[in-house]
Amino acid sequence: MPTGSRALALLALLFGVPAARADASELSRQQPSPKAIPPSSGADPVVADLDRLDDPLRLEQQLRRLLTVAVADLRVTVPNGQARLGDFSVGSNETLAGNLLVLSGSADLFGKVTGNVVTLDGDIIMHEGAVVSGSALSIGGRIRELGGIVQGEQRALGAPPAAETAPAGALRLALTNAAGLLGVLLTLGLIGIGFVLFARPNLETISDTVGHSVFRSFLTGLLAQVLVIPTFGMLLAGLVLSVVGILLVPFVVLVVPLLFVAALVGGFLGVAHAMGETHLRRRMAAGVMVGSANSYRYLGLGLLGIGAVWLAWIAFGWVPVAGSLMFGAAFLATWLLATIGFGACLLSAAGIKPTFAGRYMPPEALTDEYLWATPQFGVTAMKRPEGSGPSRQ
Amino acid sequence: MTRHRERSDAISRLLRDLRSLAMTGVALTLLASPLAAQTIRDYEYSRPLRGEEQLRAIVEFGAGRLALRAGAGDHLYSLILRYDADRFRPIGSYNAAGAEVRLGVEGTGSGGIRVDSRRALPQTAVVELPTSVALSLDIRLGATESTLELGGLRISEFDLKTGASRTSVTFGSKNRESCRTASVTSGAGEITVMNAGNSGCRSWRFDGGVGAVTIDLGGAWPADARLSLNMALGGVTLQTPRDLGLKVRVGGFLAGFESSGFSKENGVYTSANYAAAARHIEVTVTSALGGVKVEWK
Repeated sequence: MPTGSRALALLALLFGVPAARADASELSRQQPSPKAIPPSSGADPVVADLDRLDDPLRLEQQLRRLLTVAVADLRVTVPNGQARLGDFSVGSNETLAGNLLVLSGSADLFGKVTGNVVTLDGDIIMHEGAVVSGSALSIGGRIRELGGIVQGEQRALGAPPAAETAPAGALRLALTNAAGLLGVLLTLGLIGIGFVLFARPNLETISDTVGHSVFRSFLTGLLAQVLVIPTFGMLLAGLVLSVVGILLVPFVVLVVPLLFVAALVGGFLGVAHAMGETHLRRRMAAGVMVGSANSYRYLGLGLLGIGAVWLAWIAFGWVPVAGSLMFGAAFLATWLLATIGFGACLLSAAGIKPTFAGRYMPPEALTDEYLWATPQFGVTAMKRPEGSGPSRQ
Repeated sequence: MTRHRERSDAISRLLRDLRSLAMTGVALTLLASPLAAQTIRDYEYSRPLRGEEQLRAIVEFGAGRLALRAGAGDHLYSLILRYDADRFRPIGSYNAAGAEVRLGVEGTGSGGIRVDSRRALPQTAVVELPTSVALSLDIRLGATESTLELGGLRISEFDLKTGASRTSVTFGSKNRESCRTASVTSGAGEITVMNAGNSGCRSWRFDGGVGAVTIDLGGAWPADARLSLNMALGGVTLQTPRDLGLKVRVGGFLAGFESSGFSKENGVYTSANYAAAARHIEVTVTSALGGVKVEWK
């Protein structure tokens, strides 16, 4: 499958599936034909207790679960009362004893109900002369007072927000997280452009240190993370104890964290640069035409690669357990890269010293073939030996 | 020259790509915003008045805007709430035996890392209480902006605890109930009490943290009263009518008191009009680093 088609298929999967599930959810809210709901029987009956209405959210969850089954299979027992599906009316000369539950419909009351009245996705309409001796709760609707009386409490919980349903919530979460990742990548990209424009040799040295001394950089970064806070504390304590140094404390408090952040960001960009460069050189070595290879491109590719680590979490972060695992994996990978970059930044003294950048080579390694394929800064180009090439004569 | 052109081409290509990414980001953000606003949910809760004579009302509101006032008179209590369904759940329960109602919202405890901004969520609550029932008010506020219009209510006790909030308490008319005590605990917020005299409370206690407290001592004081101010770092301003006599005792570490217009004797500051004043307020200030200022009006 071509790359474009694969991308389209992925998009269809991401956005199509939630949309289809949303349609299914809407179906469950359609107005059904009015009918009585038979009581639940068996060893584990489904019971909707309407005697206490203190926790409408819990009751709503319970009632919405009931509606996930087919209408023909719908069963619920209302202690001291009855349940109805669809719109239901109590006539002006009627008295309904006990509690009344109306699912997916409104309760039009002209007569008397001696218990509590609860509707799900419907209104409670209190017409002239209607009396509810207990309390009234409308979930996903409202209580319309047209002259009737509710002697107990009145509660109306508005319709649940669309974002509450799982598919829409997942879509929102994915979009929000994608926007967040994009923002972070854009910010790092802009900082990276600044680095390349004004400090390219330093960035390249950090990048080479990452490429040549990965494990050493990681260990250095790890050790530095452990020691950074104690060192900072000792520095402050030393300044305070020296009395004269107290004046420097505000400066140190401001500057040291800034240096730490700069080293972290610079190191991270160095890692991105190294990743992009490695990837591009491999493609070039494979004979692929890649256009110009420069630091901007290395950085962009590297940042996209790091961003790709988070894609799985963005797409499926809403899945319970798996989403958390994906987040943990992406976080761990990013931390590893950041630690390597931080260590490389320290090892290379912010890209000034190329000691661990692998640029010093033994003289015997500097063969004609090597120098021809790899331009070296600071190494004088060798002259072709006399008589080894074709004569111009 | 060629190298310079290559670099320019590379930069322009990169900027083109970044522009596309930025436009995609804006589109995603715009798509995400309206969805985020849909987590607000409505809740209404009320109970008709059935001859009750007293009520203890506990109002808890963690974040948002709260308005508390006297209702039309046919309800024992009424709550109209718009709340963030992702983070809060409504509170509404009545204990008939104890004549006690709890109203407001409480956190669901679902915190976690949020990437999107939640500042714009307009969580609001309007609480209405009856004018015919003796009320014991217990109000606990978090990060809120609250307006408590207590004029017309019959208040027997008043207890207000605020966090990082901006709260305005107004006694617009005289309290018809005998008020035993009033207590205000303020964290890092700003609190203003207007016409405290109308509350009829003979004993007021303020415990302040680092916020600013303004107390308007206007209104109809039914008798002499005591005011106890325990402040940590915050400042207190007492806006005092000229017909009210003040006696101020200041204690505490580095507590400040602007004593112009007062005479000092045995560590007690007494206002010049104290002997002639119809009503007297004894103010005791305990403060660490706070200051007390009296503004005559």
